[in-house]
Amino acid sequence: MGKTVIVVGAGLAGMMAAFAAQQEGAEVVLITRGTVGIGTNSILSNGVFSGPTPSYSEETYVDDTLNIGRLLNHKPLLEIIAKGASSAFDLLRSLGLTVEEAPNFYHVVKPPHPDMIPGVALVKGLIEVMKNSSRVQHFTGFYVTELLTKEGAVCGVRGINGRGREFSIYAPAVVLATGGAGAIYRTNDNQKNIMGQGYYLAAKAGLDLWDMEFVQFIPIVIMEPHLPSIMLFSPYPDGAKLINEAGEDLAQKHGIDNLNDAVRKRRDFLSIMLYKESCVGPVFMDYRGVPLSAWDNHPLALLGKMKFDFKTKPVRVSPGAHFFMGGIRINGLCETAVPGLFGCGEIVWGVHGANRRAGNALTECVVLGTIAGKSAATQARNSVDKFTIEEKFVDLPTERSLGSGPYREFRDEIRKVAWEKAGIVRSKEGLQDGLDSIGEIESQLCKMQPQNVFQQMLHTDLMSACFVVRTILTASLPRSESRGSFYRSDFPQEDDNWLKNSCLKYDAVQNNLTLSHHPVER
Amino acid sequence: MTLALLLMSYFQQTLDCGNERVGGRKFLVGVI
Repeated sequence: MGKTVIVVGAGLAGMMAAFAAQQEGAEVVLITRGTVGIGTNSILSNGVFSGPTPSYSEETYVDDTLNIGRLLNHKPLLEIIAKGASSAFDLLRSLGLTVEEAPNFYHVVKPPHPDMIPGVALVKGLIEVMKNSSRVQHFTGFYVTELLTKEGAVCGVRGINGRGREFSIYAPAVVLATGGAGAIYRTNDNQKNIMGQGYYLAAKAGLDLWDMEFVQFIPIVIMEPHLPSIMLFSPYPDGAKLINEAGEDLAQKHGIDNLNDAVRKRRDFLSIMLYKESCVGPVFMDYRGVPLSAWDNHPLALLGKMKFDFKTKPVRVSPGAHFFMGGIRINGLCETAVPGLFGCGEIVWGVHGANRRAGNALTECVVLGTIAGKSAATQARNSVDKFTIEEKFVDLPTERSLGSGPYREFRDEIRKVAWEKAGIVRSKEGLQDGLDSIGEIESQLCKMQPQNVFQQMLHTDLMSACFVVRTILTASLPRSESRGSFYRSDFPQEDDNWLKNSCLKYDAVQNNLTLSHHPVER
Repeated sequence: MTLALLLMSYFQQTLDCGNERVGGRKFLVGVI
């Protein structure tokens, strides 16, 4: 394995990077904490890709995306997505996926059964591709704790597994495809381990984090006890309505004509409205007025897998954290500022600006994943560094009997601070309170000694979560405006003086963040 | 129902295949 690329993260972006790198002749080590594809947000997606079509030009696609991103997008990167989207859809088709062109300039992955989450069909197809890629070695159940560096360049990763072993894996190119951090929030629709580990790894390795104050909240997430907290998939059929405890139709109350349009184009407005309503009392999605025939079709058919009588009982919902627009900066080759380190997927900043257009996350994963894989393979090919692994035992028990210890309480406290102070509605006082609270939690967490390897992983998860909450609070505080997904109750209007991207530099020795602002590049 | 159970309902077969083929230890033995 002389020319090896390490890919950290096995969602859509990571799998595309792995596939592209092996197509370029590289050997690939695809690292995931769980099993390939399963514990990622890609599998929970609606399978929708936005992008130019023959009747929807690249220019219009870019303009529309900039408008939704309220002009904070990094246009050069967005233009790369626009140019690469069509080939990306063709690539998915060539890998055996059914990708159909839909009205309104979207492409969709069609699940084979109406009760299947579209993201499952997408990920399932790509897992088959991964299994048949002989040059891709799957390193599952491995938790990366550190990016290894030598003379300013990344030269591998270090991490632990559940069997109590620590591995240092050296290779000349590393792709970060670790996703976002939605699960740091009390209410979210992400997989529960997605707590910003990639941002923390990248910042400790010397990368700046851009626009971390911009987090997208999806308006309608299931919040019923004993049901998974996933988003309620659109399109919402005729007869479905959002109601409060008194049965009032909330869309009607707030002047929303079309719920599906609002979810696609006005997620920020809808999330703020539902958040404010949910501060008064519970909010529900009511399917009782939906014709029975709709339950045989997607998306309602997939609710049939859950033990809840959606047909006769309104289901409790809430807006929830969904997607991080901020992240690490890359160039057109997906290179970061640290040699040897590449990025793709949600961890990357720039495409979405202040708000993400529906369907652009998956398009970004495929386009940038492919570029990152190719670039990393080129880096590996031109390097003299060899692939090696060092192994040692960790001095911690591997029994699970100790459970999560005090870490569950820490997690709940962090999520509460994130939701209440760095959530949908923010204010100066709340942000300052949040910084105090998260600092206190972080300092208590630092004193904890994990009692087994699983607690060690949780400890690192929560350190990452504290770090990310701090980045959101720090970047939010001076932005005295509201823009896209970012809403300040004390500054509810958009202000053109804030057409600036924020940049956080992390000093790992002092554990200190320094914030600067930069005019948007066009 | 947990999210894991929901996903497992779609994935049982693939999970089995994955574990059989790609155990971390098996991979490491192969390359060291």
